[in-house]
Amino acid sequence: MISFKHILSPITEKRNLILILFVALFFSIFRLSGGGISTEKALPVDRSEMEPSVEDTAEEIQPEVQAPIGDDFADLDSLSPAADIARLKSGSGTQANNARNSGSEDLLDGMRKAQPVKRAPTNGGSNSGNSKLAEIERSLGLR
Amino acid sequence: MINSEITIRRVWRSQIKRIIIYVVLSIASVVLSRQFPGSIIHGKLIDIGSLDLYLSLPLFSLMPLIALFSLVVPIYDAYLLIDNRGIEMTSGILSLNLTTNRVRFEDIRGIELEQRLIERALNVGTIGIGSAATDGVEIVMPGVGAPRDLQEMIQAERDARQKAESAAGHALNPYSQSSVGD
Repeated sequence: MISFKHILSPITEKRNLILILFVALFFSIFRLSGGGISTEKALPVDRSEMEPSVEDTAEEIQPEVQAPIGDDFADLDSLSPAADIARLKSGSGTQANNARNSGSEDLLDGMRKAQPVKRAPTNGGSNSGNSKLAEIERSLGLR
Repeated sequence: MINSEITIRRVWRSQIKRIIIYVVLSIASVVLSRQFPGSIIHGKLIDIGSLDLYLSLPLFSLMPLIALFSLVVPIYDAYLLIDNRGIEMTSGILSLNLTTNRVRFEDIRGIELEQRLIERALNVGTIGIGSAATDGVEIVMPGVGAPRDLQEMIQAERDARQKAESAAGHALNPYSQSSVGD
């Protein structure tokens, strides 16, 4: 009959016990060396005693600086048309310089001040332009 | 007379050099793995359903592993079995080739004991048993603990068997000695 003693006897035997101790020592060394099985891609390794990392720490990372062109667009969105024209005339900022260089300042100003063109009523198909044309034709002997 | 079976294996202290090598390589493995983190190999081991298992293998840990194998194999690879018929040595238990040598007590010609300086200090040694059938030593068992006691036990058993055999032969032929003498 198999008793509990039969199950324990291989473990309690001195020769096998020493083998178990040596194998346990090996697995502890294996873990201390950074080995093991994990469900994550890389095991967490105690890097405090390893070489210093070349990556920046959290304190060393600076916040990202916004580009100045973003501020110019924000001003254009927030200003009223009159203030926008004044800003363009004052010539502050990259957008204003570009507008002045390309002549869009005058174009914009002219478009805002422009009045709708009223055509003069025609008199039998001749107007002032037509009378001048008739004079020229007459002087040339075409009529 | 030996009425039961006695199994004799190599003792751990006979492998004292390999134990020292194993401990030294274990310490070196930890130090070198921390000094050179690039020697640790990471890779996918197996996926069980949705669970992926990854293995991190420090290459320097193979050094103590090899030393551990070379330490364990001689201990479990061979044993000496002494029963009431004779001595049987089985070797190659962890190998592909298993070898068994059996010598009867009546056929034992001589028992040799070899001990080096450090083995005498640790009370281990190599037992060699020669039989009448061969010129040399038929059974060699290194790393036996208390080899002097084992040698005396086998010699006493052999003497007892040979006396019993000669007595039995004398009983079968009581005039054999006198006829030779005449």
